[in-house]
Amino acid sequence: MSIFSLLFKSNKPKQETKTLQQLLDMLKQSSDFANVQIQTGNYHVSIFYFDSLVDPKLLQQQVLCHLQQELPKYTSFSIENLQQIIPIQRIEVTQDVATIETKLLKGFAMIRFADIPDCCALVNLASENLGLRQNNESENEFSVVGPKVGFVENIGTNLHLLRRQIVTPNLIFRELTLGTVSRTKIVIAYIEGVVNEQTLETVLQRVSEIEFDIVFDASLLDQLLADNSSSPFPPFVSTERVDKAIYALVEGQVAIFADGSPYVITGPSTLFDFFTSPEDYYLPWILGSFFRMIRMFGVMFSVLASPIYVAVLTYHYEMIPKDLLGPIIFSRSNVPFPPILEVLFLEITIELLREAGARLPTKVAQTLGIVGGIVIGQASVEAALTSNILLIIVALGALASFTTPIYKMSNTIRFIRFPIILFAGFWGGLGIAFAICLLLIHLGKLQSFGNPYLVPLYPFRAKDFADSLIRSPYQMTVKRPSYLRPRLLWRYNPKKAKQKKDIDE
Amino acid sequence: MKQGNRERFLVSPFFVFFTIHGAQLGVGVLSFQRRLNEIVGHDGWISIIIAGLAVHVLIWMVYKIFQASGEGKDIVRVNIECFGKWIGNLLNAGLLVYFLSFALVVLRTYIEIIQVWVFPLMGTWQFSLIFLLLTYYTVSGGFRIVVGLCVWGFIVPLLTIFPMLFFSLEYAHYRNFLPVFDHSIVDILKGAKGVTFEYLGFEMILMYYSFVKNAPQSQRWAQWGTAFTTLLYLIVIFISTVFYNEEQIKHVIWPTLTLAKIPEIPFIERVEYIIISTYVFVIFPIICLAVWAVTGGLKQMTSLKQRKSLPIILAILFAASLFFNKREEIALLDQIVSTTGFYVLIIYIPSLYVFVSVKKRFQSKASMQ
Amino acid sequence: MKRALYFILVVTFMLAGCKSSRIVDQVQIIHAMGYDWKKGKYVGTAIYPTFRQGPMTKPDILTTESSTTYDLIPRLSSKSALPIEEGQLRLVLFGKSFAKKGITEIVHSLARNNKVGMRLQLAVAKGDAERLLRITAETTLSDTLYLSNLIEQNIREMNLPNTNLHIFLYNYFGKGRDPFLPYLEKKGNFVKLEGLALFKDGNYVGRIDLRQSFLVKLLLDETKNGVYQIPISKNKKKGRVLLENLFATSQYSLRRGREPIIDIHLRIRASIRDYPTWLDLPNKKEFQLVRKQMEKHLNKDITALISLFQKKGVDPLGIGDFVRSHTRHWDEKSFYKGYRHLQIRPHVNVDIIQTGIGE
Repeated sequence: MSIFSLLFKSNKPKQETKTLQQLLDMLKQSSDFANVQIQTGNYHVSIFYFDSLVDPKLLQQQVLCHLQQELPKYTSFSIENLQQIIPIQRIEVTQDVATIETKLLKGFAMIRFADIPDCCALVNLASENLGLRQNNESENEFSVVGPKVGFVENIGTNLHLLRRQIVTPNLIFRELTLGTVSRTKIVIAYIEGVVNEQTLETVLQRVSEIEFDIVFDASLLDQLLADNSSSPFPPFVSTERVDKAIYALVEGQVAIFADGSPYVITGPSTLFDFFTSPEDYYLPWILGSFFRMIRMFGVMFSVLASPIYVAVLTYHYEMIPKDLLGPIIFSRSNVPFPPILEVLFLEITIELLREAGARLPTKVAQTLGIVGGIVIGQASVEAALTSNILLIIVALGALASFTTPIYKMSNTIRFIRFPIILFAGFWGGLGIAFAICLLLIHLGKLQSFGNPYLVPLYPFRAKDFADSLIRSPYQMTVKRPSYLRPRLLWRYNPKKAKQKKDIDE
Repeated sequence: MKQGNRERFLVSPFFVFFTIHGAQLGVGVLSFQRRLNEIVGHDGWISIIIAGLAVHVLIWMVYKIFQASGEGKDIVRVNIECFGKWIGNLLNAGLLVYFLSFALVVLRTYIEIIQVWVFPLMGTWQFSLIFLLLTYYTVSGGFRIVVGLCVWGFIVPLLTIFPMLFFSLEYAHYRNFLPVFDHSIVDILKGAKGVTFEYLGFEMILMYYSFVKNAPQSQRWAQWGTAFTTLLYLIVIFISTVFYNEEQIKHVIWPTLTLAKIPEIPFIERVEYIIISTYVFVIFPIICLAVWAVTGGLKQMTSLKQRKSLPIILAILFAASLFFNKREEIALLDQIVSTTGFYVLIIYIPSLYVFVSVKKRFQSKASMQ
Repeated sequence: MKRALYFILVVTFMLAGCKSSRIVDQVQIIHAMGYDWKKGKYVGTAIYPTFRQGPMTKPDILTTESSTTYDLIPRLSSKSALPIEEGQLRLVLFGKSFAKKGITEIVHSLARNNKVGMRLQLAVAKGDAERLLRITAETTLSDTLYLSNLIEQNIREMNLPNTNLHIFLYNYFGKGRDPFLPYLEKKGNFVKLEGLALFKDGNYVGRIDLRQSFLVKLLLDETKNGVYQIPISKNKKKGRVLLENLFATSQYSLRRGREPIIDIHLRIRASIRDYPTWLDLPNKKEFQLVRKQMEKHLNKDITALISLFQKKGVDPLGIGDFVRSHTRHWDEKSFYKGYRHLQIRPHVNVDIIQTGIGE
């Protein structure tokens, strides 16, 4: 790996070293680059900034105002003392042109005194929330019970949301910049003393190795960080829910934030993580487990129902019970296609409806869904293009796939149906078994930050089943899952939780 | 390969249970009742217990062999150290050919079952090709993935196939067991010899022993694996003895599959089609394990890279599977391989055990002096 | 290399897909098959449902003749628009003359056929199988599954002992037992179950009526249903009671000796469904009287039934198999030489558990 990265680095265009004047000349080409010159007392001060990035109120009230009023009071003023008169935190003084460039592009203002033209002070005047939404109702991962707060596009807000609930000095944020063009701020969050060091090292190394131009969203990182990029399965959970991210951190996972993205990636993830909803934890454990199992059943049904239909009707008519034979043959008797085409036709129709619904404005989409679903479904049965039994199966299968809480996973589930349908159409029941076998091997090969994807099933960890297929009561989940190899195994003091009282005590 | 890095490719001792059991349980369990019935009639269960005990002893010997010959060695090295380079490598080559033909028998027999029961018109090459492509995908993932497949090959059939067998107890005639010991000891031992074929496959531990973490501790799991196989065979023979009578079973080629014609669930009938399909999960681990063992052995013997030898081995398997077409040919192949396997078990392993332990005693005496 | 592999994979799929498919609406699924022997020729009748008119089925019939039994189904195919598939076969009906001639060939072919299920019903028809099948197809019954449902219903609720292809094969191949099949008869526009047909080595040798088949049911396994009428008398008053079996177990035991004796202990837990009005059942004395009379009658009927079997030399109860399980190195031939004179003694014990909700 290291050899390759060396090779790539040598291919990169060389960073030219510019002088400050060259930089300013270049930036002046842009019309929103402003240059304000003021003369106060003995000092000639020039301020450079991007009009479009800077909050004008801040500039006027905190910088210009103070400069004009305070500066004449000093006789000899060094640029390092700027912090004394400008009430804005973290004023940086530097000569480094590269830093100046980045900061200017991030919404800082550069202040320069005419007598020392090489030394500049950088003042943060960025208007953080300009054009960004202030809150997120987490509509895409909705939960009836529990907090509705979701992450927003502003990374500062997101980190704030985390800090508010994880009140410990052990919560560490590590900041990096990614993207040759976008210079996106990336923050890796973890809880020191819980997270496994090896995992953390892998994450840091992977993130720092990424070469990309613009990071639009955390989902991009998701693919760039993946261990095996040619897999339909998402390698990491990406969520917009604060509670989900916090829970992942507390369990010993690592969270990755990207500025401008309301989604956060948490990993290493396992297959089961994609089927847990925060609501499971807010409901009593029996209900939580029940709904989680319903979801698992939904996935199995969604993946297998239409392939089984194809296999049985094409190759194994013997398997149909006698009472079902009549309805099936009757509903299929006028359909001109073999079952596999019939199923593909209907599945693709449903996919079209879904895709159209996702692209259209919400209110139109609802109407379209109902109208499209009912009208097309009914009409295609009437026109004998599909059998109505299949219509039920496909609709149920689509419905079941939407129960998956993580959107990426529900896409995957709807995708892997198609190869299985083809297998079933060509090889019958045997084909389905082949496909499942292939799927299991593939899942067995997958890794997420070097962690097996199928854990706790394989490698088998009996103790970690407490929070996978079922959601056990909280007395039984006092330990963190061992497959994450956390440095601290206990989540909280179990003594009180485990006390058992006798009858009438 | 660095020693520290190698840790990543090893599996926990616990998983030996699945590899041993998975390799033992093959296509034989679909039809062994018939062969057993011809020799010992309804007393077959005694033969199974005897054969099972024998296999326990053999596994114990295998572990002793490895313990005596030192840490981290596999059979290729042991053979060379014991018998010299020439004879040792000859034995190694023999073992590899045996494993390869073992995979071939399993593959070809299963394809035959598919052709007879489900797809009479499909050619052997199609099945064999798709099987071997999947094998390539699995084995190229390394031993851990193969073991993972063995785990699935244990769980999936246990949840789907196994419960189906009990439905046929509806027609049980428990009297069929009586009178117990209606056959002579010789017959029962002959039957036990016949059943030993059904335990074949566990000897692949000779190849993957060095891929097990704390290998000596895994003996417990290996023995449990065999015990579970014995239990499963006992259950199958129990169900088929009460379901069929001795004459009837002679007319059935795959009694276990015919058993599966009985269950009826409200939304599905004729479960045998499900069983034949799900049987992929039983067959696959064996083929993958055997192919992995062959490529691994080749690597030890000739330092041929596994990535290179794997396609070659699969091509050989593919060509060979096309070569056997008629039922008699398949049966003959089966017979030859299982007889070889039997002698591998009862001659090679014990004699290697004796050889190694004598040699060790000799060496320790020499070092004492 | 990889691209070539993918290419091969795709081609394999393409080639594999076209073959072997039997799409459910493009095959002729036959539900029942009849075999007859008429005027020196075999006649095969297949009955299949068509689903074109709505969810209700319309049965159709195909018949053909041949000089062997083997090519009856291929010959039927030559009359049919779609390939004939026997995977959903629910009933095979033999005409009486065919059954007398021997059903061995058909049975062996069914045992070999992987397509048919083991719960397939076999039955014997008085007269022609074809005529019986025509009744189900052409009269108001209009149901291809009528006959197989009729048999299954009678097994579940009434006097017919459990039968299907598996049980038939078990009895047919097994040493020390003979098979039996339900016996059907045409009654007007209906079909009526008329007892059991007895077989010896695949040939029909005789039949027993439905009352006796209840006794066979009792003697074979544990059973949970069936009704039996028993004559009863008290102080010269005569009448009948209807006994409804709730749970019956039979236990065989062998007393060895020079002449082995087989004792059958039959325990019936039953309810009395109907009885004459002059009977005062809550009265303990009368209750015992009824019980005693019932046991006596059942004993007598069973003895008669077994001696009928012995006379015909058939063994549907599997007495031979029972003796085998208690004898080392049992020999079938020598046992059946003495079968006719074997002493078999029934001991019936009736427990009357309830007599309904009124008195």
